[in-house]
Amino acid sequence: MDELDFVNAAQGAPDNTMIHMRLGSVPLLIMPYLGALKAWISAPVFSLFGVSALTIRLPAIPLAAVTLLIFSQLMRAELGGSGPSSPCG
Amino acid sequence: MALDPANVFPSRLDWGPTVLTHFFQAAILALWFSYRNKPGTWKMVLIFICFGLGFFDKFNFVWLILAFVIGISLCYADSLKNIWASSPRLARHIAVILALTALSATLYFILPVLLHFHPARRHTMSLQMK
Repeated sequence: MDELDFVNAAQGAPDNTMIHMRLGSVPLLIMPYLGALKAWISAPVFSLFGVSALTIRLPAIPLAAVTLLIFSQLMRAELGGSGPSSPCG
Repeated sequence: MALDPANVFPSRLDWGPTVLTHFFQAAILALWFSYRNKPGTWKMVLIFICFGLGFFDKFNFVWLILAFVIGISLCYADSLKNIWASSPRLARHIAVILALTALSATLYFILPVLLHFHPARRHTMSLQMK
């Protein structure tokens, strides 16, 4: 349910739901400790494909995949190519 | 480490900031080790950008930044000395000014949260025995 926190900000924040601070009209903070970076990333996705359970979660999937790729390449480079090549080791 | 449940599992619970946190964490570590193998100013610039974006994503990224700075200071002190010695004077001044600016901005955002943050009342409080 946390992922819904960013929907209002990603749609340009027509009201102040889950908006803690703005810079002009641009949402800056969702909560006192949470920036609107994810909302900025989701904004083009929402404008292209609309808001749905899929589009709310979609940006996180390629990002998490790239993160795992970076980690695995880093470990392979630092520890050598003899490490496990599959997730199950 | 890439598929450590500590890294992967939180992303299944939180599709937002946690994923971005792990992305910036991976990028910073990869850029640092890449810098050690083949130095390049753009890599340090990207590390600073990742620091900023990671912090803006969620302020608790500051713990990772602190851990990274303390970690490389202890484990890769020679690399840090080389960076400092090989950098031109202007670059050093710019780096110090940027670091102080970033520290000030960090404190500006974090101190109010630390000083005035009141945790939400637990919704099960009313169920407790009086």
